[in-house]
Amino acid sequence: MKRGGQFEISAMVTDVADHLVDERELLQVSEALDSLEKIEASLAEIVDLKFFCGFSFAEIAAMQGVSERTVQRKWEKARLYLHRTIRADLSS
Amino acid sequence: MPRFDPDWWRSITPYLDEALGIPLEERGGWLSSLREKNPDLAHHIETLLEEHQVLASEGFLEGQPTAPLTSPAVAGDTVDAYRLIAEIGRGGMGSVWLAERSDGRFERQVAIKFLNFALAGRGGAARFKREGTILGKLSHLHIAELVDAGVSAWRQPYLVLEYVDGAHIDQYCDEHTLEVQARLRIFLDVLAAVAHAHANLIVHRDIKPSNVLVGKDGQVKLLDFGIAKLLQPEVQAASPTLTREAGGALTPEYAAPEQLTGGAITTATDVYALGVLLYVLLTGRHPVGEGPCSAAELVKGIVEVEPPRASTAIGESSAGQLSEVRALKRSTTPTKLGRLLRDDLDTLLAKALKKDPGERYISVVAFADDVQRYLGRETISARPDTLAYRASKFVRRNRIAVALGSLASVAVIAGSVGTLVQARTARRERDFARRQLLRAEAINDLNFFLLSDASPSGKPFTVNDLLTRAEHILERQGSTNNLNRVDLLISIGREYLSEDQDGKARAVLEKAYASSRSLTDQSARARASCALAPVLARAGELVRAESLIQEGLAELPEIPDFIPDRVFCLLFGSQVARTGVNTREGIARDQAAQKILTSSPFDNDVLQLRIAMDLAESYRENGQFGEAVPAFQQAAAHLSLLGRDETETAGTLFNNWALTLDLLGRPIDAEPIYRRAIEISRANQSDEGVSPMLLINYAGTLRQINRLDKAAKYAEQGHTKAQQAGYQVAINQSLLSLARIYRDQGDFARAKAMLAQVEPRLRKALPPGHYAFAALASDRATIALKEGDYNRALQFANQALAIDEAAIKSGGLGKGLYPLLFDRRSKIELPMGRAPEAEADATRALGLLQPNTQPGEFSSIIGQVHVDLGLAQQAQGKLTEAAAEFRSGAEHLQKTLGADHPEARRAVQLSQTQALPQQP
Repeated sequence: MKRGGQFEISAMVTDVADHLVDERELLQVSEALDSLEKIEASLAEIVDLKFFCGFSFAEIAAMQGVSERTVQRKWEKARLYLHRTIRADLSS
Repeated sequence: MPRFDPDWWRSITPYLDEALGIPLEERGGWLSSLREKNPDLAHHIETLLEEHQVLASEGFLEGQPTAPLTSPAVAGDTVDAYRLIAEIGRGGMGSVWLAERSDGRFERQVAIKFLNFALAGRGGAARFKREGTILGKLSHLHIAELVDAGVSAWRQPYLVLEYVDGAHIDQYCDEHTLEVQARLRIFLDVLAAVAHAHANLIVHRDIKPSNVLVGKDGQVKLLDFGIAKLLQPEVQAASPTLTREAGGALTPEYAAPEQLTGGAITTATDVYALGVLLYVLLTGRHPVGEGPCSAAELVKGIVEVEPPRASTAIGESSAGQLSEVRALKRSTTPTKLGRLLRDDLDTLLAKALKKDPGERYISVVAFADDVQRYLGRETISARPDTLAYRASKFVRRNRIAVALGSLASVAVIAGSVGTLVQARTARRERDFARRQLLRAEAINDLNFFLLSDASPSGKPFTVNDLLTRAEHILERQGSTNNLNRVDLLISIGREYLSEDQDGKARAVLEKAYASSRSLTDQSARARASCALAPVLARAGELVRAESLIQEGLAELPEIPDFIPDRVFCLLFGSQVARTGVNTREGIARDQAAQKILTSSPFDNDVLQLRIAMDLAESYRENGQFGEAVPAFQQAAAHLSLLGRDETETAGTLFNNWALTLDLLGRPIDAEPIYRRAIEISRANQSDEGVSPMLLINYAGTLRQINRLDKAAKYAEQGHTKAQQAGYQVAINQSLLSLARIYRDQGDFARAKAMLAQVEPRLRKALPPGHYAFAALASDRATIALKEGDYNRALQFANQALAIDEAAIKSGGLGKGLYPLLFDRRSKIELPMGRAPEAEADATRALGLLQPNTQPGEFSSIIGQVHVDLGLAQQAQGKLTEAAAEFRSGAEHLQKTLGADHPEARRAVQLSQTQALPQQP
């Protein structure tokens, strides 16, 4: 975990992910996420948790006190938003 | 493709939500019915849904943002002067290679650890090397040497470490079936290594069995001090040089609570990890619990749950067999192992594993000392938690368990978001995480003043920022969990109120109240009602405030479960009553709270302290100084019981306590308490941190005990500080205090100048007729008297009395001053040859003062009046009466000002000369 100043490593379980997301895409996702946060913050938060922090739907649902299904639906919507935004940015 | 339009997105969002909630096979029908109503919209949604299908099949964002930075190293490669032999380990942080020097200059093998970090910026590599060099200076028998640090040709940073061929410490101990004593002795070597690093200002931050190896020779070696954070501020200030890009779930098994909640990482962080390590070594299990659990559970356990005692933990294992095995590995039986761990080792572990870093062993050396003492069969220094402490923890847990449950997760989320900030927008998110966390820590403490201590009042911006953030986050969370939300809103509202941000406090507390109306939970409903009341009272809405308190109290069933809530409501009720200047009712409510708390199982020091402080303040506000002093004393005792007598709360408490003693005419008793208050604020912050008001109060006491030069010094210092801070009330106080000091020093011109300066300021700040103007006139009278201008003095004295009388009649303050004004007029009347008037005034003063004084209590004010009365009687030839007054006066003054004080000496002299004629 990053705690400012210096670098720090905590024990990680890195189940090597199937899909690696490349750096450029990461940056685009970041930016799109910032705009999503302005429109629907709760969606952005789920992306933070799922994509960047690696929490499962069940864990996110427990944290937010909502059903897993709700989290999943929000995730799908967020994903759609992000994809749209990134594609629009690329084509413009 | 047109540029993406957020407004368009917003407009279709409700339909999209609906569509996504519909099972796949029913979407076709839903779409057709939409198409009939709004073909355009249906088309958009349909396109989106199709896109969604593609995304799902492509697995868009399904992976983790893992960096492409995996070591391309292969055996035979050379890195710097080293040839890689074989990969011997791989983990989240990178890969580890066994290597040897390629130039054959040394036989020695090394381990090269490639780190999965991308170096940020062009200076990154240089900085990494420089910091590596600092770490390389760490040389200790039990620390694996850091030989070198560098950056590979493919820009991956690496560390060259002494190669240790050994087993993880826990495995080693188990394999050798080491008994508890032997395990402790090995552990002492670990402690020695960490202590050495700490002495070099290096914190390990990642102590865990895999970083503590034991070689075949039985020597302990600590690895990975390379990740330590250097404690030097300038290094700390340098922004992160390395960027972590590895993803994956966190398993922070050995992380201290503050690492998860974003607190400061200090040597205490290592103490905690060492505690976990020892716990594992002694019991075979992790303090948080058995078996696999999710990251969220683990984090919750670390931040929130007190670990079971080691002695009970060994038997706790569901499978009895497991306990057997664990005991066997320690060459003993479960029963014997339990007995061995009970008491001292339990206490020792509990101390190392405290949630609050400040409560842990102050250093690794202190930790080691206790282990040594245990091995030497001496008494260890750590003390088991007292029952009161446990009880307070219990109440705290019960009260906030719910709130904390969600909050801890929020904190972790925030922390984790902070973790990945580098992939996102760095600084903003990190600050967010940190503040979130501060908040989480703050909420950990039930009591309001404890919260204030956690966020020093000297930095209102920080607290404010924090609150705004917290509020924002709550909003973002939405109304998914109203019970938590209400509790959190209450906490935030109370914090705002303590920052005197009434407007914000009110908005938040109103929100909490409104949310609570939809709940059935009685304690949440009651707390929301009662918490809203004080801010309304402060805004003058006393009727609604009082009815909210009544409403809250009525909500609570009269059963023990609700005692904490009842106490909560009574304390808020006390605040409301006092704001409505019904101090008596305030006191009654505090007393009621004290009573039910004391007789309940929830009794705890923290709440008792809060009540004692409230009571003391209420008494003081009500002019019941005699009652206030023991209440202050009690509060101070609670404070030190809680180990909080070095906090700002303590500083304030001591100041108010001393002030009360001052008002009781006991400056000699007040002086050391003021001094203590000043010491506390100095220790807490810097010299600058001492409140100007405190300095000015202290100056006032010093003046009374005739240490005029020192008094002038403190008052002037207080004045300067008050001016710097723009603290108007303190500026006024300092001017009044300086006027009195200069007057006593005989510098009347300067004294008058001070009064001339303060008068317009007071006129601006206070309503006309405020008793402060009586005090001002009285000060002028005293100066005129000293200058020998009796007529003018009398004029001022009369004016002072008139103002004060009117102030009291109209319900204002000024009762305390009233008797003094009579005494001062008496002092003027006497040299004017009006002895009978002087006697009458002094008698009046005494009559007003005495009822408030218990027999056996002494006061410099009363002493002074006795002397003045005696003088007036003496002038009229009433020698016997006068002698009695002088004797009383001498006694009071000696006890309260000290025998050497000129006033006390004069009184003694008078009583002796007056006694002479009675001698045969």
